[in-house]
Amino acid sequence: MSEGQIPGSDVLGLQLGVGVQGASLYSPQEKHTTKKSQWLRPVDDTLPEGVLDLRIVANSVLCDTVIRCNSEEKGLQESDNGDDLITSDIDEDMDDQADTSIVVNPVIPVVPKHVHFFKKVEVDNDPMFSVNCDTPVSLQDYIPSDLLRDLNDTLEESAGSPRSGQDAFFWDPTVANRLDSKYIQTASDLRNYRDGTEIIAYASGKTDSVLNISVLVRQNTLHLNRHNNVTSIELHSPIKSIKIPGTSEAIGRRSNLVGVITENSFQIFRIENIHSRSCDVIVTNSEPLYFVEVDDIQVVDFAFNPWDLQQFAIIDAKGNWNIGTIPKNFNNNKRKLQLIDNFHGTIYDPAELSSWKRIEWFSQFQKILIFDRSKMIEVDFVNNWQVEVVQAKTWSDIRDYRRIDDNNGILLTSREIIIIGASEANDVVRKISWKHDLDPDDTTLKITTQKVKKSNILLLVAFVYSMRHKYIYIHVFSSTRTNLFQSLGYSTVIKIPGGSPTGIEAITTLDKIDDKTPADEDADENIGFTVAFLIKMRNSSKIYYCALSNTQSDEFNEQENFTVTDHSEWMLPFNNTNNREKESICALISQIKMKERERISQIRDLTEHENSHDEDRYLQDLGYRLSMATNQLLESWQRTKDESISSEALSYSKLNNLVENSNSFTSIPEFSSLLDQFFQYYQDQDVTFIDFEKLLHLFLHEDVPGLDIFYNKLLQCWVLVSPQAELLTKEIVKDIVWSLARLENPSLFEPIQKKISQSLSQPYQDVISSWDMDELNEEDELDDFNFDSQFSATSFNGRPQFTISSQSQIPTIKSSQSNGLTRRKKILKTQSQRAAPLSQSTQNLSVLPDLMTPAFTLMQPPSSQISFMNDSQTRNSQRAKKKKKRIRGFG
Amino acid sequence: MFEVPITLTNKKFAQRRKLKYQYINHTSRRFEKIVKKSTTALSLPTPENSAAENNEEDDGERNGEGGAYRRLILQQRKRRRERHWKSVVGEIYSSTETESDSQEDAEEDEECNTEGKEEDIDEERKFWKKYEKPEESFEVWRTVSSQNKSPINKQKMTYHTFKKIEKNSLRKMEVPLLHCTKESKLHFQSLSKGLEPLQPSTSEVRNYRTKHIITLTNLLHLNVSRHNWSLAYKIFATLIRIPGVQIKSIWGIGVEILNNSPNLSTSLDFLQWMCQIYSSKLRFVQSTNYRSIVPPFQTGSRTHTSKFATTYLWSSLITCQKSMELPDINDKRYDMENDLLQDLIDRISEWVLTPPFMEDAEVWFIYASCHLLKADILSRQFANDNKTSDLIGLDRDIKINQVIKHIHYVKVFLQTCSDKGGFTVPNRLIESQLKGFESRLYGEAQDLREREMDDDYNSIDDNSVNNSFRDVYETNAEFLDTQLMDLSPENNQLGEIPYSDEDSSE
Repeated sequence: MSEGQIPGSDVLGLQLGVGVQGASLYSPQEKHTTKKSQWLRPVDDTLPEGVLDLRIVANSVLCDTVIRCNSEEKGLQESDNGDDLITSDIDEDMDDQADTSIVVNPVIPVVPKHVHFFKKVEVDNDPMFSVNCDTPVSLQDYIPSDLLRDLNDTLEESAGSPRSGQDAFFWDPTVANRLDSKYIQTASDLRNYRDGTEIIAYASGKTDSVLNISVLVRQNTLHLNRHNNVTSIELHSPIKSIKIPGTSEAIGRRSNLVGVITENSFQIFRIENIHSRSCDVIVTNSEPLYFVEVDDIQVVDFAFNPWDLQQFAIIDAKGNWNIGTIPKNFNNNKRKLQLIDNFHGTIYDPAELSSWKRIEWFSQFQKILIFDRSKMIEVDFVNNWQVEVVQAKTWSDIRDYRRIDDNNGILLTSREIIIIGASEANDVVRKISWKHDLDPDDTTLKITTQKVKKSNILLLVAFVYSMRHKYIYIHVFSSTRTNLFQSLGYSTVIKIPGGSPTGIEAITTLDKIDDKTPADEDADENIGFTVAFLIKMRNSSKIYYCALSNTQSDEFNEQENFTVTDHSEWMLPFNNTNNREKESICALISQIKMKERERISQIRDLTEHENSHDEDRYLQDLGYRLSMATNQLLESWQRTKDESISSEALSYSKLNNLVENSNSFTSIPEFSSLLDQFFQYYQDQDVTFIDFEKLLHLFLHEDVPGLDIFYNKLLQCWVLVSPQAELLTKEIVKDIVWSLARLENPSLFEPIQKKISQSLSQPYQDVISSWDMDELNEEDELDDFNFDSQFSATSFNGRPQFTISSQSQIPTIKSSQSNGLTRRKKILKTQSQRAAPLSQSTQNLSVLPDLMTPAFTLMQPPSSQISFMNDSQTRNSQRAKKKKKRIRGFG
Repeated sequence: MFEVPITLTNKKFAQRRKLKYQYINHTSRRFEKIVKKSTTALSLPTPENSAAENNEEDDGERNGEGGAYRRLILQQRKRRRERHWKSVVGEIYSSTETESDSQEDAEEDEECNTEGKEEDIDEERKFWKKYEKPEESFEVWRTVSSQNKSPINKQKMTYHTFKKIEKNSLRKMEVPLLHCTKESKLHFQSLSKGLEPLQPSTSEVRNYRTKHIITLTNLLHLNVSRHNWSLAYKIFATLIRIPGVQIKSIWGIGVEILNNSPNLSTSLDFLQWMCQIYSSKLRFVQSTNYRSIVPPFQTGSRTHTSKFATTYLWSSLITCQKSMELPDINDKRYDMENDLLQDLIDRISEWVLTPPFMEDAEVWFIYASCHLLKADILSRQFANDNKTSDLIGLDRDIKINQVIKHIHYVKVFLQTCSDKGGFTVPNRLIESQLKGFESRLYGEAQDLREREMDDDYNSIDDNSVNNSFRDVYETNAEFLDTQLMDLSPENNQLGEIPYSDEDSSE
């Protein structure tokens, strides 16, 4: 039955709203004592009450788009034709590290001549090219505003923050969801009949120009994978929309593509492989389809054919649409996305001002639906016809559309939520609508849906959200097998707790693979369900995982109380700090939070057992175990001495690796004295430990005589931040100690060092020895360094020579540096960003030689300055190239 | 956050609207010019081109319609002027004018007052005139039929062409923008660049009362969604007493609240009151802008049954049925409820004589459903009583007659319903139910028929919805008693003349 049994208008279907009765059908039962309803109504009254008594049962931060997760792998397989526009972000990270360990930054922050300061900047805001008013991309050279501020305080607020007042009142409808999450199946998954992997794709970075893809893992709640392994790809242009295609059930597989629209191009990424263990995601990419090549008009939406993984459709801001094909393989030279000449058209309407457009496949292979704010047009691009199905010129506007499955979709207008479906002739038919009573002027309304499968019924939960407020309007449609949709008759409104009071930018529901459906047979009586989604608030960098449930169990409650969902209250003491500081504080706080969550059970145990715990004996035991393990280790080193020399392996070890169960104590002073004794004892036996006090100095920028004082100082700061500060601080101190403390036997290094330096040719040996001589005076060292760089730039003009002659020498240089240079470098790196680069550079100002190598152009000072700022915006490939040159110069 | 039951208008909004529609009209005019030029000058005649021309012709027709409207407005203006002079002279103008016309004029006058200048009307009207204003739904919905299909419009809007159009229209806008506030200017510029407003218009409201209304509306919706009925009732009561609040736009919530609160007045009373006060029999005028009142869900007209009226009918029908389902049916109570249903039937029989309901298929379907319910109840009573063998002889025959009569009405009204069109009814299902009722009357093979009916439930195929009722009626007639044969011709007449129900209470 296509129409279902409920009588209703031919064209309009059923129109419902709060308190509105729709047409019903009287269906008498023979025995009127039976409880079964006598009416078949558009409002489903077979469902028990309280289906929509949804509560938030889980709410946690999934990831923060500001914090870089530690990721070591290189995600993007660089294809051979040298497309250096797209490189993995991580690669650059590595480059940076390599750079900074070799090049000291002896440059003055001189503002180049052609940079002018303006009191007021009016960026030419031509919508065709740059519409995103949140993050204007200026046409001038980009210099971070805070650099200028540091340079000259009087210039404050001059070139910085060119945000016009405009962005507070308007938003850019071309920015769609920059967050998507779905199951995907890679080729190997298909071959091995695996269900697929759930991945998340989101934009991050200052201008949202970094695409991140990561594997999600479900354990109680949802997490990024164990290693926080995120593949980041810098696209060099603000991302407007990210979509992972859903496929038709008929073709029996999932897609492995991720489509991305940036401000100037459309590009498709294919996930080639996912390592099951390390969760590494290997991605290949198509050649970006630049808008300049197509029509010069910004593409605002795209869709993938659910029946054909190689077909996509795009639509631009003026309503020109086009069908295209994706090449099968991105590895060879044919990586270009092809637009099919025959299949294009336009829905341009001069009366339509908004650049919001949408395109989506409908019920058949060749049928697409195209939307603008006032029209819905069904197009059959093979048979060459189009029909304007909806004309919303008068009392409502179209706000959003979502595909539900192969037959149905859900349309959100400014007044109603409408389910549209395919009729018998596979044409668009309006089925049932619910008047939602939300503000019809709200242009930011969006909808997302989730299917909840029960044994005999399918619930379709629709979330309507807006960028104006943080309420989610939820309505449920139920559907039986006969494709008959009924409404639940009422809706509910849920407020997202915490967060800034702005609004919701995106909600992505998580699809489930139901493999354990038959478990709940009593579904008739008890329609308990949980819907989970990812949510990103506007003006917030965090993506939250949120779950709603109508079951009455209280298992989550405790947890909920313990985790603070947002740290607005944490931020209170820091209100008067500037942006940059705020950012680092935020990052710090979220790190602490992460730790807090991890350690929550442990901390609780400790608080419970604090008094009863027999601490003295435990510490005694710990000391004993530690020294035993150390003795064993030393012996083993001694035994394998010769081997290690020949293989040039360095012998050192973390204390943490020596003992297990090393954390169950609470008294820091006791622990500190234990460590002191331990260090003392083994130092007498010619074992070197890492210099703890120096390290602690790096943390606090002041002299710290002991661990317990360090602990107290930390506590002083953090007691403001959290009620559990004491425990947290203890845990963090322990963490620091165990992760930093390591021991080595210097006597074992000497032979290795000797051997390596002997293997060097004469000039290098000179370099090394001259290096070791003067480590007392920093200025001398710098002079030396400059001499070195000059010398190297003139005498060796190419890396290959160096690498061929002695590849194994690189570690030697590093290890010899470790005496003096790295320490300085570490200070540089660990100093938080606010430790002004200015002071650093003024120090160097006097020592800069007059002779400069030609590599240092005028533009370089600011750019190399930036390298300390960890700024995604400026890290482009050009700079990376320059850096590489410098490496060469030094070698 | 929620829809506010008042019309937010002030000078600022009016100015913004004016600018917007002015710009849109310029752009559309420019677009038509350029497109026409390019189609005639640049391309050879191909099927696609000719199709595009057809489209243009459509546009032309639309413009023609627009012209018709303009003429209409001119006429009205002329008439108004005449009337004005007559009243000045002292002559009472003729009372031959229909109520609707004067009403219409009044509405328009109102509009003029709110708009202030006539130029304002022009720009906005010019835009609105181009489009059909639907009454039933918020948007115009079309089915995908062959006459609606047109070939794909393949004429791309290139960047160059667009810029040409935009430049020209923006130049034309320069003058009006000179006299605007900075804010309106910014608003317009952002809109023309394809951006959309983020701030709600409610946030700009400075008026104390309006603020109050906005807050109350939000609270009302939140409390309804949380099923906090007593509080919601209070809020609703407060809200509707504030002058300016349009109860027409929040009646649904009122019904829901009254349904769920243990008050004396029921939602049915409220709905009845709505029907009495707000049932409009006016003609729906396409040329007015209806900024304050949105027809679907809010009003009715001569051609459109208001949603609260149908809701009233459906809920009273369902209430009737529910009250009859109560287990302790003693005869007295049963009769009373039966009277309730009878009242409803009487009321509908009056309603279907008047304009909006007369043509509304849904109302006819409700009418049929009433009889269906009644037939069910009567026949069920018959089936129950059959066991105790109370009904014998004449009494029994009369009752059988009644049931058959109602069954007949169901068929007639369903036929009317399908004649009116636009309303899909699962005919086969209802037929099988009717058969079931008949079989009850005669007891024999009852079980068998029941099973059959259940099968029908599960295997009804809507493809054959369109089979005629008359045929079914004929076939059924063979089953029936001779008494029915007597009844049938008379009832066929009844189907044509409006049906009155005086004899069914016997």
